[in-house]
Amino acid sequence: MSDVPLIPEIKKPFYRLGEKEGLMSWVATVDHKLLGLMYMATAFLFFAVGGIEAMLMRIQLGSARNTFLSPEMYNQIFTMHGTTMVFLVVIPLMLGSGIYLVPLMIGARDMAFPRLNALGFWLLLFGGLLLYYSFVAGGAPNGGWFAYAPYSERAFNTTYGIDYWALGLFVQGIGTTLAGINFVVTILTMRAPGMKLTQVPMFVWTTFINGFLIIGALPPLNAALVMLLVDRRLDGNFFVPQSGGSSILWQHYFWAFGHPEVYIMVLPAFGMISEILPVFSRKPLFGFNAIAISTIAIAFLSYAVYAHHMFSVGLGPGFEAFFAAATALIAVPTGIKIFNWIFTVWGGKLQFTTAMLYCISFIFMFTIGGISGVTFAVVPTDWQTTDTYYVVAHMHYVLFGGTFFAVLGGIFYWFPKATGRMLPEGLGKIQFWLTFIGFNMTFFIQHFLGLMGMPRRVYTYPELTNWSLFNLISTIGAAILGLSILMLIIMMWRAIKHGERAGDDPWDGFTLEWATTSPPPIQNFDIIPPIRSRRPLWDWKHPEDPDWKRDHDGKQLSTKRSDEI
Amino acid sequence: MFEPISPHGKDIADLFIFILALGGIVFALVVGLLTYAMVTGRRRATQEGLPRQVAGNTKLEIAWTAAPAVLLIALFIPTIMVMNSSDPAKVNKDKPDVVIIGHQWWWEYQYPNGGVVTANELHLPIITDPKSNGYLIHLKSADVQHDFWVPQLGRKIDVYPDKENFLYLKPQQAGTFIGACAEYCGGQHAWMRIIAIVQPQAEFDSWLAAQRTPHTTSAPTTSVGAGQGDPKRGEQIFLNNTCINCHAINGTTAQSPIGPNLTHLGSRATLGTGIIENNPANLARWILNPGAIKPGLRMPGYQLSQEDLRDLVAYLEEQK
Ligand code: HEC
Ligand code: HEM
Ligand SMILES: [Cu+2]
Ligand SMILES: [Cu+2]
Repeated sequence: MSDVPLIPEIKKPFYRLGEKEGLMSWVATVDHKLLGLMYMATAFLFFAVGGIEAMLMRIQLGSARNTFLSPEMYNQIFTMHGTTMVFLVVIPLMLGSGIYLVPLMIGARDMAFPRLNALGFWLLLFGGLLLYYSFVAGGAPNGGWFAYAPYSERAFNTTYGIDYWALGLFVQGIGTTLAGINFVVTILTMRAPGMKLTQVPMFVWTTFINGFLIIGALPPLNAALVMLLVDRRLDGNFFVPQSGGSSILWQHYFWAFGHPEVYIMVLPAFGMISEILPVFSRKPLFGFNAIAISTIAIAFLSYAVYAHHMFSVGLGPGFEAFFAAATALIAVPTGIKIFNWIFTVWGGKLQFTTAMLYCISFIFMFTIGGISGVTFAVVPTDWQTTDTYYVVAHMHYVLFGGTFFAVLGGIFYWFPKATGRMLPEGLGKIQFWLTFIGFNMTFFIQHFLGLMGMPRRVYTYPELTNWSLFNLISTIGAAILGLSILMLIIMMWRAIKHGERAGDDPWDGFTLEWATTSPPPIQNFDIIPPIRSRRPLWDWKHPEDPDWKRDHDGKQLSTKRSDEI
Repeated sequence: MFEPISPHGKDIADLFIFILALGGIVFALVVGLLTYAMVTGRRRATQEGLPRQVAGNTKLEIAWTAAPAVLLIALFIPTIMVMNSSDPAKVNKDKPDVVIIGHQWWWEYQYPNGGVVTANELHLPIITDPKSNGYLIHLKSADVQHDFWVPQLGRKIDVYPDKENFLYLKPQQAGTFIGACAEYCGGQHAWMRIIAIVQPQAEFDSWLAAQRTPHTTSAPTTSVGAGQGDPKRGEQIFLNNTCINCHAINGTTAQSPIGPNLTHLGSRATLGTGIIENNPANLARWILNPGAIKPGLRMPGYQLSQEDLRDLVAYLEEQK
């Protein structure tokens, strides 16, 4: 191993997590690990808030004509829940995990632009606080997470809620864009010597593509937010039909952002799944190239499908057919991924850790969400199902059963790296089953509610056959789910202090982050193993059978193994 | 949605079931493969050595790229067919049978051919003629975005102030069918429900004729007994209050289109798009404090005396 590149020793001592250096060390930091963790912590904080909002909504909907929340209150809460979960929970989770992991996975010392990185975080945090300040400034926004015009215009919406919504998201959006740029540059320029762009781990690859998606998708949103603010405070008329503007124009802008956004919220989750499944199957990722290329395909297609959110607008059959075809196409690269994951597990030696359980159930949940998604690509069935509880069920299957399950898997998997301590596996499995049961109980039944005619965004509903019963089941499921999240937070809290020591490489991992200490030192690596394949640590640990000695497809095996299938 | 009463609704329901069947096969495949992999993988975990380091298989990749593509073409063809059949191209757009206007948070229904304007109960005739596309509906909004959706009748369609939308409705079964506004439109979006009443043609015609007659106010037949209102006095109370700023009653000077037309209020089964049953006690409650029933709605409450209230209610409920 003569070609081991040595990273020069860094003299300045660095605080590790848990050491007390005062608040300043966090506020002033430009270290990607601290910033990544701050992103995650912020996301969890907002997740708790958004979760409480979700519980309040579920209590209100637990029975017909409930009066727990007033309509104005409910409308503010569902708007804040959706906005929080999308912009202040899922995006920060995706960005934060990338900011923490990408430099470690590519053997870099930090992100390419560390100060920009810090700026991005603080913009996110203050954008979120600005949004929540609306509660004390005379009323939270109440236009839903996509704030359709003209209802979001001042003529119909006189409080300052929508203004705070637009400003908060604008600030947050700039932060997100900065992170996107930072990812692209980091992955292009900061890879360890010897690591080709085609050899980065899949999580790095999906984050790389995600960077491009962010750079393309956020500007339409930010432009539209400014236009909305001009309308509301400077008497502009962009989206005011009563004085010559166009209400539909807002929808085009919003969804030109909104659909790529859906993939911004899921691509890194795909990456996490692609890291965790192989390790616990003791095999390489199946069809790496196919997954990588299908990710590019998804990114391109995601710009060409946005109007499937507008099939109920009545834009005409030609227009709708085009977007239906493009949307259906996206199912192909998604299907490729699902089957590649299945065949990653296929023939492996499986270790059912909690992380693995989350990742496998991700495949199930995401498939359900994908199938209900097809009913939105097929225009006539979209005409029936859109804007109902069916779509609420669908989006929670992809966002919660999809992205969030992957994140939970990722937390169980990388928590030891970030803190040096393990999360308890036994309790973890109980926590997993609570989440799994609670989630499905909450959201599966909502498919039926939607098909029975229950529109979304309603603060209450009349007594129709089974409506109260089904909603009550959903609310009970939500309570179980709430319990499981509470349990997770307590588990993490305790594990940071008292968890079993993890060591550097508790899972016998394949990628570079497991080659350094847990938690990693400020410079990340003292030595970096030679990189000749996508699994440098495997090669290191198995000098008799390294990946790079095998045929590129992995079909030709140089040695026979003891357990031929 | 699965008990459609129109050919349009039926086509969509059938297509949905077809997708569900295809989706079910895919889901079964995923579950089957993954379960098998899990069961064998767990058994293998107890064995010695490492599994084969297989990293891909080009033939399989091609297979699971091509198969979904074929499946999607199989879906796309019926998609286009059902798009045309469940929402046929519109002809004679300038002659709609019904004009529907969405308001925050109630529905105005105009029948231009019958010269009728009413609210909150959409009446439709049964249409059996196989050549007819159905009743042509023209949808507009008086304020913000709304969406007209009666699942059993067929597709939903948005309602905008700056976009004219059209829809064919072709109900084939009598009854009362419930729908709702499906595009979030503000505070009382939840109680912007739709009540569609489908009747045989003859019944529908006589309903239309009845709606066309202006309000005729009868003098009290006998001396007004306890509990019985005086509609004649009620009419004066209605006209002397600000009700006329918002409401219309045909045959009187009240002609404002801002709120629901009240000419034949007595013929409606509910108030406020279904939030309460329409009976004298509820109507009195409504006039005193509608905000307590439908918080945030666009109508003020009126502190009327018991007697005034009783007469006003009698007047409003009189005309069926
Ligand atoms: C500022 C305008 C306004 C005034 C003044 C007003 N209303 Fe209304 N009224 C409305 C609106 C708007 C609605 C529809 C509310 C809804 O369902 O959201 C309504 C609904 C009603 C309804 C129920 C109609 C239905 O089909 O459900 C009745 C009855 C009614 N008003 C009676 C009256 C009477 C009687 C007065 C006078 C004492 C009055 N209104 C004054 C605006 C007004
Ligand atoms: C990762 C977690 C979650 C995400 C990303 C998420 C996302 C969303 C989004 C985007 C909306 C739409 C808001 C809108 O229409 O403007 C929404 C609505 C809603 N969510 Fe969640 N959610 C999450 C978790 C939950 C949980 C755990 C619950 C139940 C306990 C829940 C219950 C609801 C309810 C009741 C609505 C209102 C639906 C409506 O009225 O249209 N959500 N969510
Ligand atoms: Cu989309
Ligand atoms: Cu509405």
